[in-house]
Amino acid sequence: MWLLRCWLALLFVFSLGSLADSAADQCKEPLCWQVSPIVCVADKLEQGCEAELRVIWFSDTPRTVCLYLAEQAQRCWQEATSGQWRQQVDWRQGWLSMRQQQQVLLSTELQVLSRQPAKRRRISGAWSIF
Amino acid sequence: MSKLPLKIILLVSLLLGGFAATANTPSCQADDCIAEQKLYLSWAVGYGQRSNPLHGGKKLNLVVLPEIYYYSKYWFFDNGRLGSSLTLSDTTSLSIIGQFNQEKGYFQQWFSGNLLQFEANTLTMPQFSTAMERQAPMQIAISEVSKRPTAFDVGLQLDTVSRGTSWQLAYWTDASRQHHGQYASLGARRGWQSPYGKWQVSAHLHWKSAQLIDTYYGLTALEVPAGQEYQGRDSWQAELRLNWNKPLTERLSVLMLLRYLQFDSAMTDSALVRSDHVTTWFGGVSYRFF
Repeated sequence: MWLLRCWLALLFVFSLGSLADSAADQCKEPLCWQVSPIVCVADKLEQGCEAELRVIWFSDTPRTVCLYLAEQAQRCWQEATSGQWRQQVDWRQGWLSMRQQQQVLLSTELQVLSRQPAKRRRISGAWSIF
Repeated sequence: MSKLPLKIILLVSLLLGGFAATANTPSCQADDCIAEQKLYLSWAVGYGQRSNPLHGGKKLNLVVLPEIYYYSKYWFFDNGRLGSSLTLSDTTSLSIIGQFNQEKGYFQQWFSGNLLQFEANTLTMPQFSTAMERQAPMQIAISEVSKRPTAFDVGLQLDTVSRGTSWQLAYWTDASRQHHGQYASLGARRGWQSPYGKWQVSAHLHWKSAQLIDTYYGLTALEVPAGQEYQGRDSWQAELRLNWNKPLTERLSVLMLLRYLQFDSAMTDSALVRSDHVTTWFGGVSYRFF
């Protein structure tokens, strides 16, 4: 069992590393990030959605920044040029942002999609052709 | 002034009293709450009739009835009505809707509004009669008057749900420039389930403008002898519907539909009109394909 855990941990480190490398390669702005996934798929919309969210960020200059989920700080970095974060989150909180002294530098919306189509009410009664 | 307003008030208050007495069911009921982007198609086979209130008008025999509706995110088709809805809140929506005017259906059986209902005039079945038929001093048959137009109307409909009852306010106008009139309706609808099956009852009060009534039920000097002309007036009409169905399997149900429409004197003063009401009934089995 421990062998499997080690293998999975190693795989995760490698995958994060390769993800970070590709994100760094793609970054052409002073500050950029990669958030994945940004969509969580639930069976029913009203049930909400929980999933692991991963964030990787890069900056061309050292920054003191904090990652916020809704209005709650999740993680802060001091004078860093990059950072990684992952956590199981409730998607209904909806809004992820990277802030420097409360100034929003980057943000994205977390969307919840449902496997079942949305429900609505009919505007006519049953057998209204009658 | 006839006794019609009293009838209307009694009918509507009876229904709404019933609604208030059973006000604790959820607002989005199973048969009223549907999935978007899914086609619903059912056919009912059985027998029923719609009476014709006009002199010379034939009863419409009902053998097959369709129920077809599809709601996408932005538009919908629901039993001959095409429209688009704007959601104002969780319980309220405003819709713009187009549909054929239904008055033509009394003049012509193979009218689009009656299109999917089979005619079988050789059959004679008992007909519900809840009021005495009017004895008009003169009678003008459909065949004696000029052809009435087919009109397409566009309307705004506000739907809201309160304590399990769906309330509806609608205003329609003639988009096809045929009758140049308007009509409006205020109604309530409620469904519930009992060990005896699923029930849906609705009550509507309709107002129809003088132009609309005049186009279909007015009589000009070209159509009738001098002195027998009729100029249409604003009309108030009350409608009650009762639907019942008992599911036998997931797709098969037994169903019974009843509808009663009461006219006022603005309709019955026309020599074309024989009866002050229209009754419609149907009983049969339905099968839901999708």
